[in-house]
Amino acid sequence: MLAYIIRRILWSIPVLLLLTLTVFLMMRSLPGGPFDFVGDKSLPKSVVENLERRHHLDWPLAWQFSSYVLGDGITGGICTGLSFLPGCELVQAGARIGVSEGLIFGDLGMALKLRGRTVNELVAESLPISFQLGMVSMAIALIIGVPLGIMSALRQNSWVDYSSSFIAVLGLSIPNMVLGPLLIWIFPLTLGLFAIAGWGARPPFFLGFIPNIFDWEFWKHAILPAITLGTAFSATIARLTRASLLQIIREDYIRTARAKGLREQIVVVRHALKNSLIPVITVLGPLIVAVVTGTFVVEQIFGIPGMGKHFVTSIGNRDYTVITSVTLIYSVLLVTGNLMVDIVYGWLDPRIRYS
Amino acid sequence: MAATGTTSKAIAIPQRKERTPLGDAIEQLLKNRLAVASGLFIVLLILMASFANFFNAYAIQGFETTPHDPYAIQVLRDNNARPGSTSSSTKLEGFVYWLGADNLGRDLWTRTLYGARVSMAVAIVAATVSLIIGLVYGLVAGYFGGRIDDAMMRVVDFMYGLPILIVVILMQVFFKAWDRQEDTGVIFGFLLDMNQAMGGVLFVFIAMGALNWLGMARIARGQTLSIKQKEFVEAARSIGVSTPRIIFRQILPNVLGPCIVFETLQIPGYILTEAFLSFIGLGVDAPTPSWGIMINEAYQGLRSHPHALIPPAIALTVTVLAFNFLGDGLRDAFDPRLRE
Repeated sequence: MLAYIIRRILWSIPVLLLLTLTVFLMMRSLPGGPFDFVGDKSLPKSVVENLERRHHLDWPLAWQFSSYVLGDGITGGICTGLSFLPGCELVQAGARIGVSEGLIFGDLGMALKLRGRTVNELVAESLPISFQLGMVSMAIALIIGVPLGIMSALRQNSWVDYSSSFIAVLGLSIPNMVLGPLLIWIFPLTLGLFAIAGWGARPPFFLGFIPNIFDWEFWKHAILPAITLGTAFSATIARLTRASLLQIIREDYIRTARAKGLREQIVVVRHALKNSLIPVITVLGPLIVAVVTGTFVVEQIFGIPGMGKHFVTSIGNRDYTVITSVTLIYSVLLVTGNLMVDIVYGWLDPRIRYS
Repeated sequence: MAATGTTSKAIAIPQRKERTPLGDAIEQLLKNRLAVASGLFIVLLILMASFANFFNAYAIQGFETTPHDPYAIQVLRDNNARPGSTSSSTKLEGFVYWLGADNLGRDLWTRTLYGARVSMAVAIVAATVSLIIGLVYGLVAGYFGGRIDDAMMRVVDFMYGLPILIVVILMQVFFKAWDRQEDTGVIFGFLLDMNQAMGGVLFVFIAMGALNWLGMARIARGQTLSIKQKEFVEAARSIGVSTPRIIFRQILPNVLGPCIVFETLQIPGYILTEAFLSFIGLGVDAPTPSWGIMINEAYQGLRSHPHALIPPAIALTVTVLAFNFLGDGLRDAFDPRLRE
């Protein structure tokens, strides 16, 4: 098992590195740069040149990438040792004014557009917010989805089943960008409930990301975006719970449990439900991914200062370091989420063996 | 399910009424009223979208749109007109805004209808492209097996590790930025011209088609692996049928069913992705109407003019709903094993 986990982690490193390289090259091959405009005004050429030199944008691309991944120290060191390499004179001239310790040391570099800020700072501010939104959505999805699935499975082919199946498909079909504005229109605009935009939780967070959940201010801002994001997932979870519970309830050991005279409640909860939730866990992996990427729209609609917002604005700003770093973080989350689900799955269902 | 198609050529079975798996599946599908209604709705929507030139409000009410903006007549004075109100412009004397007008005074019925064009085109093209790429990829990997299979599936696994939506967004950013460039090569210039003529839809197709075949490839490979063990494939090989012929005439018809069902279930995702891209301004180019753009515009003015949100929001939701019902119906009818 440990060997499997280590192999998976090692395998994901080249994937992430290649993705980083691709994004890095794609962004830099775009016309236009981060220093073209400040507001509506364009900057004088000499200022742009100075800024580009400050951020090493005058270096050849390979060296820029090396600076991003390995850091200025190592890149400068390589150039001192192997000074015949092309572009080394520029690197040697600029390596002193460092912009990054290097990705391998956990430094994501400096933001280009938001001057004087590091990407690490931006991520430290916005990631907990996206994370909180994702967690509340996930909780809502489970709280609605699992009971809905159980109810329709226990009353299979009754009106309860049909109507909850219908609700599930409806929840699956209503897009975030429809549900979000709809909820805003109903609750804050018409009924005056909850907040229209923004985020209520303020740092410092417990353990870096857990907000004070007894604070109404947090829920006032979190509840609508979380419902928007969680509805589709609750539908997926409901369908899966239903299907899996229906399969389990026909198993022999359920009949045995009934035959030995256990109460129906105990049969359902202890014997059937426990096992039927295992397949539900497998979709949590893809769901985590969907939650993470789904926050884009929801953050946009509800004006939440999370990572998705940084991603969308930095694209327009050509803020190379922010785009590359945020993409990388999303991918790391995705890889970690999938790995964690596989581990939990193997732990819950001993029949599954990884080799 | 299509196994009969492969035997009927070799042995001439006299035509008589018999129950084929395909016939059973169709019968099963027709019993599902929700799926049939959804299918009819989608056909109707595709027809209305294709002939939007005749079904838009201007054409029906006898007005002509200008070549400058083929999708609508802008009457700035009628901005945010209420549903059912009459145009105040002399140019559009007596024109009724059935569903109201948007913030630039464009008829919402017309724009929603043209928006259906984009959504349907994306649904059809993205599904077809991903079906073809994924099917061929999966068939080849599954049929040859061994090292070829390993290598090909490694590539798929590798790409599966990417956050697909983010990659699609980045590709769109890339295309959009190139679009504004003056000096482009011959091939890219041709693509850019095509894209402009299509109102920015082409690049959405390319971005979405590039990655969405991965799931398809996995399904097709899995099916191929099981089909190629069957006796009729063995028989075909033993009488010396060529490999491409075995793949496309013996295996493909048997693999196709589950693959089409899988692809239908993917279509809502394609429609939503396009709407999402347009929503954040990375989809089709203005003034081409897309439901995503319309929702974004309506959302900006939600406080004062909530009615502008209703047509695109309902259109998008109902269309996705219909594809979901149809996909579920197809799955239940053609391949009950796929049912989760």
